[in-house]
Amino acid sequence: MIAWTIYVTFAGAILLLFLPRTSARWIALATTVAGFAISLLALSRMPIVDLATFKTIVRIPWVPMLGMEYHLAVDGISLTLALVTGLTAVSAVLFSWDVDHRQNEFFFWLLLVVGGSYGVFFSADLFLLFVFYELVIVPKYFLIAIWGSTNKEYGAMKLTLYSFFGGALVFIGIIAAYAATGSLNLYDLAQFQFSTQLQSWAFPVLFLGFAVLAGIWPLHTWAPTGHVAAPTAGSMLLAGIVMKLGAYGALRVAMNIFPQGFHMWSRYIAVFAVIGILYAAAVALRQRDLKFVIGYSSVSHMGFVLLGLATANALGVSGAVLQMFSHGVIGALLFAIAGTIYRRTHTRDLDTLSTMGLSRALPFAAFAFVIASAASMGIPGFSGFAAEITILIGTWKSYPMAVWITGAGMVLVAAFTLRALKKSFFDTAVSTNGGTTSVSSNASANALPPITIAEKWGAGLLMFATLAIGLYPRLLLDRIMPAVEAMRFLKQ
Amino acid sequence: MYIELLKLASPETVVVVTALVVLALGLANERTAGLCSGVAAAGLLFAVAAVLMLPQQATLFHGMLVITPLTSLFKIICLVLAFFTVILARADLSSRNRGEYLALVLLATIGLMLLVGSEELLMIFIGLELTGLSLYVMAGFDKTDVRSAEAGLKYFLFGSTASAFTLFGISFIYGMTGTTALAAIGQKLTTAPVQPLLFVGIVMTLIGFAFKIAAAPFHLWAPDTYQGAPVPSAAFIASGSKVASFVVLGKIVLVGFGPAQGSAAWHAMVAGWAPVLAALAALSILIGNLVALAQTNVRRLLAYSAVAHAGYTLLGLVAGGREGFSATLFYTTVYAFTLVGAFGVVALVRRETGGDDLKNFSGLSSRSPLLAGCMSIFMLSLAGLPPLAGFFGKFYLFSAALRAVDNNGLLWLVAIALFGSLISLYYYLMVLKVIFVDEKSSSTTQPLNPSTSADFLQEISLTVLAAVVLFLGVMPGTLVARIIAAVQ
Amino acid sequence: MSPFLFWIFAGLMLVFGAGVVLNRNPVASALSLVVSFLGLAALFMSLDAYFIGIIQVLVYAGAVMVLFLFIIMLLDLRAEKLRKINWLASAGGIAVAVALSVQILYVIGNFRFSQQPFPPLARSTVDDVHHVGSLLFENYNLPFQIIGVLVLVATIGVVVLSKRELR
Repeated sequence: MIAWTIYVTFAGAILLLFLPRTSARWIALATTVAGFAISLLALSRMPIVDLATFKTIVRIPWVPMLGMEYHLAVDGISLTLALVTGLTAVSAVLFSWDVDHRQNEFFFWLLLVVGGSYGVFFSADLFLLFVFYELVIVPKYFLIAIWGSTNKEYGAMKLTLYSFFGGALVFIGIIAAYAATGSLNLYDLAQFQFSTQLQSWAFPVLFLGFAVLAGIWPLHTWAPTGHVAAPTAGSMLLAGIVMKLGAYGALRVAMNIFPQGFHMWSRYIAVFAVIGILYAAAVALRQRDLKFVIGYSSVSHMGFVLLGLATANALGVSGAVLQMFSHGVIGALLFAIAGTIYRRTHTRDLDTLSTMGLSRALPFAAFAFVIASAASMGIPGFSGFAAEITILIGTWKSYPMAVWITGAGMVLVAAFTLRALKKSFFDTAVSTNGGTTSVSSNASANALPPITIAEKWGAGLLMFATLAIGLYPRLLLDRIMPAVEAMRFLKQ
Repeated sequence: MYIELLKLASPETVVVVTALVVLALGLANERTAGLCSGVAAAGLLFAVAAVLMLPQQATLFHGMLVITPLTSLFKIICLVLAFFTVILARADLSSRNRGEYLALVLLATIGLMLLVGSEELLMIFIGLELTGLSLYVMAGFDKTDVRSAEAGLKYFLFGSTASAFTLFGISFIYGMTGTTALAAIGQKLTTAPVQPLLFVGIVMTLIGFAFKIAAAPFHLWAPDTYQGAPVPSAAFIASGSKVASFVVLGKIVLVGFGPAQGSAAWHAMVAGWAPVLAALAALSILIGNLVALAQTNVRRLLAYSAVAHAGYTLLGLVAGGREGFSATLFYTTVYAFTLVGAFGVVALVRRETGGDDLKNFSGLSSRSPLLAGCMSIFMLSLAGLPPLAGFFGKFYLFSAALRAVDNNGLLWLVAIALFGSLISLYYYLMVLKVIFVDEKSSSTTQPLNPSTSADFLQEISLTVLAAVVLFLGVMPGTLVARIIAAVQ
Repeated sequence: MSPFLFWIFAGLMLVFGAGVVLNRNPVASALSLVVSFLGLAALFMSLDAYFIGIIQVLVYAGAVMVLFLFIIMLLDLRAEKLRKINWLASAGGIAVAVALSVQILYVIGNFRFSQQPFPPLARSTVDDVHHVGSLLFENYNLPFQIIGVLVLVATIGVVVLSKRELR
């Protein structure tokens, strides 16, 4: 059943090419809602026991001569990520309700990204996984290069080349594993005893290849520029889905098939992750562009994911998966609000925004941004807290030092989030700032078009998700934990 | 025996007869251009049917004419490529001398079929010359364009020098082994130790093929020829000639020189042809991709990318063995179809805007979504992105290369190839960027040609080619199974 | 034939072959080519290939060269003007050529003939022409016919490329 998320999404994409533009956004919405509904249904229907292992749902020979199969499977981790994909996709479509320029094409590329991501999360064949993984690259380029804003062609090309570079590393890792075993079945590969020598070099290659997309420091630089250049929906997809593809690949493929290599390198990954958390947070503190702030915050949050993965214990890794979900929702929400502001004020410069007094002009946006910021800072009650605390507990077992350093990092995260929040919405310094500017800004603020219904729904969906998981994380954790425990890289 | 020959060479015979008929029709009347194309296309289809009726296995004259599933498969592929070239030629050339042009295409096709269907050095050389001579004339066919003359002359000069080297090499090999049949040469080499002089012969023979497939450093003719020659000629040079050259190169090195393979593994190089081909491959990938970055003309860009792709394709031969050869054959076939398609788009754009620089492509997606869609499929397949055939081809090639040698010995070559693909993505995306992102520039606002029937036919054939590339990417098993079964 | 004669004829061929390229006067070039062909014919005969040697003289040195001279006369070709020579390019070319020849000569020099005798040529009882003819129509029938196609291509090419376009 869950496999239909893939088929529905691609069918919707193809349908878009042939139907008139007037119906484009409705088809896109229907498609993404269908995808989300299917994953929700799977969440409610599938027994938790079944989600404990990577369970085959479809298995058809594809290129039998070379051992490739069309092989889909699902476990708690995949399902969690499919949920966040569906969620982000629906709200991304809602937030691009007003795209007029080449509408069909826009939604076509958007659905390709979504469909490819579903494919990655459910693939149980390494080749199939890689096909879906690479499929996502080019649509991103077009989404950004055609519909983007600031420096869009540069940002798009940089992002694409980084992704492809990561893909090339992954490719080497995959064919190394394939050459050693002659099999591409993830399940078989996860049982195979690779030689230590192979693991020692193939693991870092494979892991790094995936981690590029997850925004690992120092290969994260595509993320801020890409986020800034992308249209609103593009940033939402990048933060909500695409960065997860990297982290998921690192977990499902790199760590799972090369456990010894992982153990050799895990402490370096932790070091990089901690540096990434601190560095990105510090840089975010100095940014003037609202989207750059959010872009760096994404890198910082993904640093938590990598840290969680590096712990190599069930708690840390489960926390990492939960953080993938959480950051997908929160990151998408933050970018969505930034997009709505930009659409109305045509600026993302924090200093300019601070003179506008937006909290009065756009109260709903202000409300949503407060929620998102709170979740992003890790205030209890939101999903960010649940995920990060799980990661930190896991980390405490493996690298106690890292917890202390990361604690300092969380202060930085809070600092830049509050700064962005204050500057963009709640800066009251304006009124005392002299007559002329405040009058003009008030005039422009009053003239801002109100938040549309579509945007309210999109934001509401994401806010609901972060609250729901924040208050009841077991909904996902119960499904993630057993699946993680079934993997073989855990240190006893 | 003659009856036997006629029976086994029936596809070639059909094509020769068609060529003569087309030639006569073209001479009879100036207005028969359309008819000529029709007859040529029909003749090629007949020849495909004739290939299908050939027996499974047959050998004539000690391997001069060999019929196996492999040769039949590639004869069909060559004929189909010629078919698309004929369709391309409908729109591109003025109707002047159409008969002669089509006759040359058909005669070149015979050369390709002989190359594919022979395991005998003498016959291979004659096939090379037949193909080469036809293609030289085809490259210089457009006498109203100085570029075309330049293309023809450069192609001819480089080609004849390379042929001379090949012939010299073959004479050494004949001198050392006393035979020109590939199988016999292979047997001789297994029993006797390989002499250094034989290596000279082998390397010289390979030079001729390196020229044909445009591998660096023997690629210097490619940019000017691809850019200057009439579009159908360039398409045929880049596709048909390349496919046949790879088939025969594979047969020569694997069947004929098999025992002298050597090894190109990083820490365990052993002298033989494998290191030579590995060096050619690495050089081609690097030079082709790096120089392609700087191109502003789409055909020149395709030429340098062709150099790079020759490098990738050689990887399979370096790996050797059944799997490597299959990977090479799959990749070169896919590449040929992709390139014919890409040249088809170039031809249509050229007719519409009068040029084939990158700027002529700007805004193509709004002018003609179909062409833009086809071009993006071709470009992305060349870049090796899924779900297109180029992606599977690269996966197959690289995994074959990695699996062939113990201890991942060819990892260095695979890494170079992946680095090359990374570079190549940039320039392929630049083409697509111009097509999809840039708005139509004001300098090229000429009135569009009214759509003619030839246009329509070309658009259909381009769509078919794009569909083939997509299909081979989604269901590569169909072709791979045939190739693997054919490569014994 | 004694090695002495071989060296004389081979040297003759090379010298006059270079003369074809270096001469500025087309008639002198053509005549150099004749001498070069004659040397080649002599080499063929020294290998007991009398038929090919004679054909070489009759067809190439005789018929083809006469045609060449006719064309030169009809087109009224003058001696080519001396162009500026790109010294760097020619030096590079010569260096590559010399390096290649040295390499090949070195390999040939190291090649010990005693280890691997050339297969002896079959002594036939029939005469050369008969032998060549039967080979062409039996074993080498296919290449023979393909050469016919090749000549057709050459003819088409020459006609197409040299025909004056009517405008």
